[in-house]
Amino acid sequence: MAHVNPNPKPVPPQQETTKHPSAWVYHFTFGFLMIMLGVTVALYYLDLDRKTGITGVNLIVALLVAVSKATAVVLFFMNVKNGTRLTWLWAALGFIWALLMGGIFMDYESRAWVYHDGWQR
Amino acid sequence: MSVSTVDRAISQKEKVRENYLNVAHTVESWLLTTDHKRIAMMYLISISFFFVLGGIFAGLVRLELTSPNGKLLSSETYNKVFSAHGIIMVFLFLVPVIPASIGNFMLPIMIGARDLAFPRLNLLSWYLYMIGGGMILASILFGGVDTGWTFYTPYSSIYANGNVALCLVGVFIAGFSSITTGLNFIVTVHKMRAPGMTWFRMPLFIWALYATSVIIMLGTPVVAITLLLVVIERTLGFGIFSPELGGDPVLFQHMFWFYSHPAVYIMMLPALGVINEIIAANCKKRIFGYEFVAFSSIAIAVFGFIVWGHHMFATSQSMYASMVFSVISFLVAVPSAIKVFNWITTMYKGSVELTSHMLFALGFIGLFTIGGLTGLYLSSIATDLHLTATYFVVAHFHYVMVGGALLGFMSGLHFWWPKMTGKMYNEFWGQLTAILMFVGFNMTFFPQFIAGWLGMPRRYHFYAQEYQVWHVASSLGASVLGIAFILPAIYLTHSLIAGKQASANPWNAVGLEWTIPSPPTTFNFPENDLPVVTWEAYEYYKEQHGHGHSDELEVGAFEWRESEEASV
Amino acid sequence: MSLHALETVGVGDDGHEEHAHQTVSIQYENIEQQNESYIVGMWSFLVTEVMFFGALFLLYSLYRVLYFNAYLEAHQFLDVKWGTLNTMVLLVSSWSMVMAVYSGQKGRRKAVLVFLGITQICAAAFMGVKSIEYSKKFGEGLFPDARFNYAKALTMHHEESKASGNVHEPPSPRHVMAFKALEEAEKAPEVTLAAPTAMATLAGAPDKNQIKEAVPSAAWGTFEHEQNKARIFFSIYFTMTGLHGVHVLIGMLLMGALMYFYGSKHHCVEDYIPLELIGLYWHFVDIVWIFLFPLMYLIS
Repeated sequence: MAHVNPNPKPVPPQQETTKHPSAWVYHFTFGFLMIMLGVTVALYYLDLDRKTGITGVNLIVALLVAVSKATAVVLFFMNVKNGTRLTWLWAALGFIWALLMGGIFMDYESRAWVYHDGWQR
Repeated sequence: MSVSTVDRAISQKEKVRENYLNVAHTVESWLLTTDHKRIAMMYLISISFFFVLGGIFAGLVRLELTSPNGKLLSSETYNKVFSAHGIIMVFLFLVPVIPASIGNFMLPIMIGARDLAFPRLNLLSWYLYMIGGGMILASILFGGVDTGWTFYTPYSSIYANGNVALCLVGVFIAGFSSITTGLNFIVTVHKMRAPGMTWFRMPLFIWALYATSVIIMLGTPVVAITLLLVVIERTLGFGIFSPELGGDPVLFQHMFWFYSHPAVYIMMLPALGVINEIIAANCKKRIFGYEFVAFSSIAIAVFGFIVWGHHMFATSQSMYASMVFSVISFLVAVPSAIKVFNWITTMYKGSVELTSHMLFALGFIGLFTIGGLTGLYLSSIATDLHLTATYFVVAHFHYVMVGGALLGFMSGLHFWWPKMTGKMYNEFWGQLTAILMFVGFNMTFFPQFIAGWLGMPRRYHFYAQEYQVWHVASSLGASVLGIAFILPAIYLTHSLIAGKQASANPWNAVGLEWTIPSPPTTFNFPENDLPVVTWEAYEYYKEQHGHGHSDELEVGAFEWRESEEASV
Repeated sequence: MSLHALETVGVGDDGHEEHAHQTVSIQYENIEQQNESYIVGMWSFLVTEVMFFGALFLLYSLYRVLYFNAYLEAHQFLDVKWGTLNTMVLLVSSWSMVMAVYSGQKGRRKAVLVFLGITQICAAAFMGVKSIEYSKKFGEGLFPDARFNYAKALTMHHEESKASGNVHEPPSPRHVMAFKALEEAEKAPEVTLAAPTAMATLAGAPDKNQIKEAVPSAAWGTFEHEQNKARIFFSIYFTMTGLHGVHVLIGMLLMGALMYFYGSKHHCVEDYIPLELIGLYWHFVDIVWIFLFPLMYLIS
C-alpha cells in the first residue's frame, strides 16, 4: 500500500456504537417471517380473487405480506431500527425512488385514451 | 530561460517539502495508491486520453460533413465514427470528467478531510473505469459499433453488426466506476466533514458534487440493468425489448432515458458547481443567494428524474404522458435559471478579475444560457416534433455538454491547476485559449442550430446541397476549437516542466483548499489537526479587513497556512 | 471494507471477550465515524441495488399488466413447492446470518463460524433447488432463447397433470389453441414430421421450425403470437432469478472469504464491520427473493 497509517488509533474494546437488540428479537422476527410465508402460500391456494370476486385482491394482499416481510427484515435483521437518521433515510430512499419508475405506467395506461369517444373527430 | 537566484532558492526549498507528488516515484506507488489526489491525477490523465480519442472521431465527422456526398467515409464507417464519438465522449469523458478528476482531488480537501471515506474503493473505481474504457475501446477498434450512443433497440439488440455486446458490457462496467465514486462522495460528504463544517458552510461545488452523486446512485443502476438486458437479448435471444417477440422497444427508451436524462445533470451539475467557486473567488464576493443555489442543485437532481419522457415525444408514447413530461421539463429551467441569475448578481458591482479561469467561466455562462434556452424549444411538444433528430438537437446538447460541462471543466482545471500540480501556467496563453474556445465553439455549433432549424437531420452524411454552407461553417469552427484544445495541452504540460512554483493561495481565494500548501501533502492536513471551520463559505468580506490575522478567527487551518507561507 | 488499515489490538480467546476490537483508519476521527461511514456506505450501495432490481420489477409489472393472461398461464410451470422451500431456506439463512453478526459483535469467533456455516449451507441448498428448477425448464423447452418451445411445455404439463389427477389451473385457451394448431399439422400433407403424430413429437424433442413448416395455417401464427408473451414472462423470470442467483453466489463467495478469515484468526476480522456489511448484503438478497416469490410463483 502506498501509505500506511502512521499512527493507528486503537480503540478501547468496550466501544460499541450501535445498539444491538438481544438475540430474541431475531428469533421472533424469524418466526414472524415464517408465519408470513405460510400466509402467502395459503393465500395463493385460497385464491381470494375467486372467493371475493374482486380482481387483484390476492395480488394486493400478497404484496402487503411481502412488504411486511421486507420491513421486518430491514428493521430488525438489518438493524435499521437502531440506526441513525441517515440510515433510515437511505433505507427509505431506494424503495421510494424505485417507485418513481412507475411513471412509465403513465405512458402505457394513457395510450388508449386517444381512442376515447370525443377525441376522435 | 533566466531564473533569478531568489527564485531558484525558493524552488529548491519547495522541492524539499514533501507533498503527495514527490512522496514516492515508483510506478507501483501510483498504481496501488489510495491517495485521492493521486487517483484524481490518474483519472485526469486517462480521461484526457479518451477525450483526445473522442475528439479525433469528432474531427472525422466534421471533415466528412464538409461534402454533401459523403466522399471521405463509407456510410457504415460514418455510423461507426459518430457512434464512437458519442459513446466515448458521454460515458468515458463527460460523466466522469469533473467528479472523478477535480472532484476527487478537491472534495476531501474542501470539506476538511484527510481522504475520501473509502480510499481503496476509490482506486477500484479507477480500475473499473480503465477496464470499461478498455472494453469500449476494443469494441470500437475491432468491429466497431454503429448504434449511436443511445443503443436503441431493436437495432442494437438484433440487427446491428459489430461488437455491440462488448461495448455494452464496457459501458456497464464504466457505470460501476461512477457508482463507486458517487457512493464514496456521498459517504464522505455525510460523515467526513471537518469540525464546524456544517452543510451550509460547504462550498457550492460540494453541494453540486453531492447532488451529482445522488443522481449517479439512483440512475446508473437502471441504465446498467437496461443495457445488460440488451446484452442478454443480443446474445441469448430473450425478447424483452424486441417487437418481433412481443416486447416493446419504447420501453427500452423509457428505461434508458430514466438514467440518461439525469445523466445530463451528472455532467452539468459539477460544472455548475465549479463556476460558483470561480465567480466567488474572482469577484471576491459571497455567492448571492447561497442557499438558493445549493437547493437548486438538489432541485435539478430531483426534477432531472421526472422528465425523461421528453426524449420520446416522437415515439408511440401517449400524448398525455408527453404533455406531463413537457410541463415538468419546463420546470427544470427554473433551478437552472436561479443559478445563472445568482451568478450575474454576484458579479454585479464585484471587482471582477478577468483571469483565464474566469474567462472560461464567463464563456460557460453564455453558452449554458443559450443551451438551456434552446432546450425549451425542445421541451415544448409542438416545436420538438419539428426539431426531433435534427441538427438543432445536436447543437442544443453540444451547447449544454461541451459549452457547459467541458468549459466548466476547463475553468476548474485552470483554477485548481496550481493547487493540483504546484505550478503556475502561463496566464496569457490561458486567456487566449479561453477566448479561442468560446469563439471556436460558437462557430462550430451555432450554424448547426440554423441547419437543424432548416431541417438537416442528424446522423446523415448524405444531405441536401443547401445545408452544405452551414456544415462547412461548422467544420471551420471545429478546427478553431481543435486548436483551442491543443493549446492547453501544450502550455499546461509546459507549466509542469518549467512553470513557476505556485504559492498556497495564488488567486487570493478563501476555502480550505487554499489554506494548505500547493501541492498538498499526502493526508492534506497536518497530523491530528483537522481544521476547525468557524466561517461561512466564501467569506470574502473578511479578506478586506485582513483575513487570517484577525483575532476573531479561531486557531487552526488559517494559522497553519500562514506558517506554511512564512516558511516559503 | 477497510481491512488493511486495521491494526491488531490484542485478540482475546473466544467467549472471554465481551466485544469485538476495532481500529480507526487514518481518514477517520473516531470509531463512531468509521462505523457509521461503513454502514451508510453499504446502505448507499444497497440503494443502487434496489434501483437495479427495481428496474426489473418495473419490467415485470409492466408486462404483467399488458399480458396478464399469458403470465397467469406461464406461471404454472413454476413449482410452488420448490419456491416455498427456497423461500424457507433463504429465511433460515437470513436468521443465521443475523445471528452470525450478533456473535461477531460479541466477539464469539466460533459461534460466528457456525452460523456462517449454516448460512452457507442454506445458500448452497438454495442454488441446488434453483438448478433443479432451471434444468427442468430447459428440458421443457422453456428457456426463452430461439429454441423456446411453448407447445412442448404445454403438452408435457398437460400430460403430467392428467397423470397425477391434479388440475389446479383451468384448461388454458392457449393450450387449446396449440392443440388445434397441432391437429392441423397432422392434417397437413407431406411436410409432415417424422414421428407418427405431431402430438407425440411435441412431447419428445421437436424442432420448433419444423413445426412451423408443418403447420402453415393461421392457427400456428396465432399460437406463436401468444407464446411470445409467455416467452417474455420466462425472459423476465430467467433474468430476475438469474441475477438474484448471481447475487447469492457473490454472497457465498464473500461468506466463504469471511469464514476463512475467521477460521484462520486473520486480523482483519477482529472488526465485526466486514461481517455486518456482508450481513446487510445478504439480507438484501433475501428481500429481493421475498418479493420475487409471490410475484413469480403465486400469480392468481
